[in-house]
Amino acid sequence: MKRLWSALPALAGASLLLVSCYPGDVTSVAQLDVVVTTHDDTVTFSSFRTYALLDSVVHIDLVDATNDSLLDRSNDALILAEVRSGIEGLGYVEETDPANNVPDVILLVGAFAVEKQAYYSYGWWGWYGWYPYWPCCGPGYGWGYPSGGSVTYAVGTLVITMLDPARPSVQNADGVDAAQTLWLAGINGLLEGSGATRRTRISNLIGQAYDQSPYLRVNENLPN
Amino acid sequence: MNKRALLAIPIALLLLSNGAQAQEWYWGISYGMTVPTNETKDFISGTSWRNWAMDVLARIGPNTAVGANFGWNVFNDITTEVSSLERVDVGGTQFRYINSFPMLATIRQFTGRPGGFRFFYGGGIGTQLVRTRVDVGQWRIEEDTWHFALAPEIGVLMPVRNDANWFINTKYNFAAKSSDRKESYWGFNIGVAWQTGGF
Repeated sequence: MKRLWSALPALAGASLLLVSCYPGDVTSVAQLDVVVTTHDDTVTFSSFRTYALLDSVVHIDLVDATNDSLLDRSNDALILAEVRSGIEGLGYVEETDPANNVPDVILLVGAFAVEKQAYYSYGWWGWYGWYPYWPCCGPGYGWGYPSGGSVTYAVGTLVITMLDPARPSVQNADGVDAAQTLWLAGINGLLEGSGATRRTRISNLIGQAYDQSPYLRVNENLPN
Repeated sequence: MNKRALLAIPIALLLLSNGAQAQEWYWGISYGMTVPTNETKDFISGTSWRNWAMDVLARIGPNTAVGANFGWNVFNDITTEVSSLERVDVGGTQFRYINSFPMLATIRQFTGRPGGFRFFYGGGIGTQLVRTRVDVGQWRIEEDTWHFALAPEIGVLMPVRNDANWFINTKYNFAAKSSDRKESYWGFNIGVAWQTGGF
């Protein structure tokens, strides 16, 4: 018992050393995905009925218009299908002849990607494990040389924009006539993971954009 | 009251207590769990198991001691709830953290006799540094706020030998509003205390 008492301060100190200010780690790429939506709150979305969807995903290259290496078009069809499925789930009906019948809203989909670089360092308290090596001294913190490195990763953003073709355009800050946005969804995540995983993430995230925008739902009781 | 003034309270009380009663000191360290309440619970609902505190007390009367308390409480939560601010809604996995550091001047009143099984009650007044962090996607929002803090407590001291005790206590930590945030949580702690003189 006496030995236990003598050891208590050391145990308490050791437990403090093992404390992390920020416990809980990212366990999947999907946990770094984020969906941001915003809307014009002067618009009564429930009065809309029909929509038209631009038939292509517009790839925006922020660095070099000829370089499309970060984004390919393998998921474009899926993206458009999910955007279509989501808006129809809220009660909108696709206008198949928008040239002659102006829809209530138009949906545009764009995508861009950027490459980022992150630096990391383990510092002096580099690792936790067997020190200096099994079976000599048992577990403990190693007092190693500082180490670190850098990692390059690509981040993709998908932007879904809802416009009202009946609304007049307005001049933006650059003096350019721009259509007024009714609703905007920005979906951002790492361009990592296998094809199947990425497709699942895309589906879930587009669904999330609609789920967190319940005000978009049309009033299906209104007469056509 | 600015944060320097708040910090001065526990330090001044600790210095004033020096020599008050023939250098009878009490040092305690404790580990505990905390249960968030009110606005803290709205932000992080789960119980925290990462809580430490240190108490230093000097006896100023037969059953009264004053001193200081320093604590570190870590709350964390992972949530996928949508956060809304005006017309903007943000969905995704949010990693939420609170690191709370109470720094309090304390007073304790003991019942019973020195060296025996003793109940105590009292409280602390001072300041609390609260570091709040939200990581969502590849973004981080972090804020440090200093609060005026109060912490009433009750507990019991259980002697092990002449100079050492186990103790358990319950404390309600309240940090008043600062920068639109206020924090509160219950703490349930178990600790060990070393002492000189008759605690």
